[in-house]
Amino acid sequence: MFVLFFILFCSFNAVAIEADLSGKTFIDTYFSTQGVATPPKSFLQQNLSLWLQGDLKFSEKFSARAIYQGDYFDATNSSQAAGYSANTLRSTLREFYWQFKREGFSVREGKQIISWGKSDGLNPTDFLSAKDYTFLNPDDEIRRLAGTVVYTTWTPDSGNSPLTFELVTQFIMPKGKSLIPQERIPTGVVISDADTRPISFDNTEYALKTTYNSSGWDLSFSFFRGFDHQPEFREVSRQSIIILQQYYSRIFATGFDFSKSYPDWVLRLEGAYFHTENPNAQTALSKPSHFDFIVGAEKPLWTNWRLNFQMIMRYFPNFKAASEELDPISRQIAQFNSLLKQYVDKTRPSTSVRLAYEPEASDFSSDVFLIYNFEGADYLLRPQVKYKPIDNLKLTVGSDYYGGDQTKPLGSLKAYNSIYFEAQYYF
Amino acid sequence: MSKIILTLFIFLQSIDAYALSADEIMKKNEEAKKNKNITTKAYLITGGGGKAQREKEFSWWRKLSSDTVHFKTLTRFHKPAEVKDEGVLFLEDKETEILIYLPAYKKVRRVETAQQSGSFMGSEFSYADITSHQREDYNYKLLKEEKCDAFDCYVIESTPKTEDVIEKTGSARGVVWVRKDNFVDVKAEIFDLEKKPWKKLVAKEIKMIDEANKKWMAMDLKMENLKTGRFTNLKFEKVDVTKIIPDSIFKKTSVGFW
Repeated sequence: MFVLFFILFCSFNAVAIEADLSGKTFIDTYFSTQGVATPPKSFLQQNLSLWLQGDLKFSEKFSARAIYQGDYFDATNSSQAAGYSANTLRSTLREFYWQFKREGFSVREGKQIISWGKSDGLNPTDFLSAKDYTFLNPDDEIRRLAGTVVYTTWTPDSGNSPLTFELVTQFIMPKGKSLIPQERIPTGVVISDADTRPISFDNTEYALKTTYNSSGWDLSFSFFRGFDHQPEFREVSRQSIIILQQYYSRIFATGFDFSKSYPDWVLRLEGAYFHTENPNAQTALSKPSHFDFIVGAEKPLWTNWRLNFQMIMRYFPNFKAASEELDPISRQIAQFNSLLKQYVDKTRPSTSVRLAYEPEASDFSSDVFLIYNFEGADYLLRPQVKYKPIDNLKLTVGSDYYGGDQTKPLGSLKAYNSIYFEAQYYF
Repeated sequence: MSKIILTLFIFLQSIDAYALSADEIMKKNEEAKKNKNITTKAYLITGGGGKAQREKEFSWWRKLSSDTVHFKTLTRFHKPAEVKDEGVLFLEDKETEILIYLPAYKKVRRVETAQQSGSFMGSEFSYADITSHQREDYNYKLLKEEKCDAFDCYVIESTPKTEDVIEKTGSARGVVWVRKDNFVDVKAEIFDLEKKPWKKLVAKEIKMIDEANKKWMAMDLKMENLKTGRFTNLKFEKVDVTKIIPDSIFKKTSVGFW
């Protein structure tokens, strides 16, 4: 579709094309602090990545973009469950789309990342993208995956209305990957590839978002019909071994987000209701329908400091604990899924805090991020320091520390406690 | 003798009538720079203070709102690659709203009013410096008249009328040199909250960019931080005032479309 449009466009228009090529390369090494890494490899994961971004601008209204992503990495000690091993070369077009925009209207077609929601780090209304958590990186956005989409926006009154409508049709959804500690996989269980679905009307995802923009505040409502992009695991065979398949379940979701700026802080609210394939919690093998809600505030502190504080709540109106499954194997699978998909408790109140120190004229910056669950007192603590010795080079040193009850989602990731180093060069 | 004194008195009165007040000068200053539409390419070159010089290239769209008082401004960064596609949208009104589009996150973030005195893209210009200063927000006082470079200038002191303006700009006092011939400011000194010298602005390459409406623009603005020794040059090129910028590009939902 993209190529056809491109050829037609160039054939019928004598255009002066503006082209631009940019990119970045980065190397990351994660050293285990839990003794998980097995000799002779002393690291948990190591990667060398190259991103190349090509932009073509045919006119003010019409343009195209392609982003190539090449990752050469060794995940022997971190992501066996995701099918990665030593010396994996992953080469893909991260994004590849064309866009057309005119007053009040825009359309973008192709492989692209659409990231919805206003909260920090966790976004209940982020229905359309997915993340590959098996690819360890200090920047969560690098893990984000794109879908194949037609994305249309319309602002009535030639762009002057305070209302904006966004319509998304996602033909090929992104398939996220979860970080699975090897010791959490039940004994005698093998994990097979993800389920595959043909492109069809039934498997196409649809999303609609309506935003009202006012001076100093905005409010959005969104609707989504599609799939949960992070997998859960379903038993497909129980012979001498048990085979679990990564399964992306159907969901219907509706949500909202709101932000308002005050003189010295910003308020953000975001929430969503997810109607899943297991609405009444008849089984503990699959995630039940639930509500997610986040209220957060971001505020500059003193000079050069910034605080982002959030209260997070997940609530399941109907809930069945994994321990209630009668069959022992089903019970194990339910426990495995409930950890990965975070439905171990009927209510799950949490908090997140991000404190950043970003002096304007300094080459150093640092931040610390904490997410803490009150049920189980499990948490992730991520402090990091960044340094820019020259204009295009950024060095990062940090640590991921998962603590608390190991039968809870974050505590169960203790095997991934690590110290990491990243060098990133832009060109 | 009395006739001579009376004539002299009337003459002096008439001179006084033609002398401009500080408010009038600043009104003319505002008018001289009030371009309805500006599309331009711009560069931020920051250096000094023992740090390496860094350059950022961006596009700049500024449009006068329908109230003919406030402006809407969009900046879209192209280089270096680290900030490519970052957009900063300034929506001026009674309260100025500033929104930043972060392409890495594909999200738009608000800048709190208190942060508007913070650095604009790591430069010595603040967000508040990039927005147009509203004349009604300040009290003006004509300090003196003197030569500035080759021009005759008015030297005018400005003091914010409200605490909100002080908080937004981080400045409690300013002194500006305004050319008498075209009412364009060529130099300014900005004082911090304790009224100590903070920044110095020098405008160069002042050109008439709209002859029909007699509008002017400085092509090279140098902001120097007197406390740190750092400076930023904001340079403009390829200025176009003929192209009417559609309002739709200043919408929050459009900032993500590069």
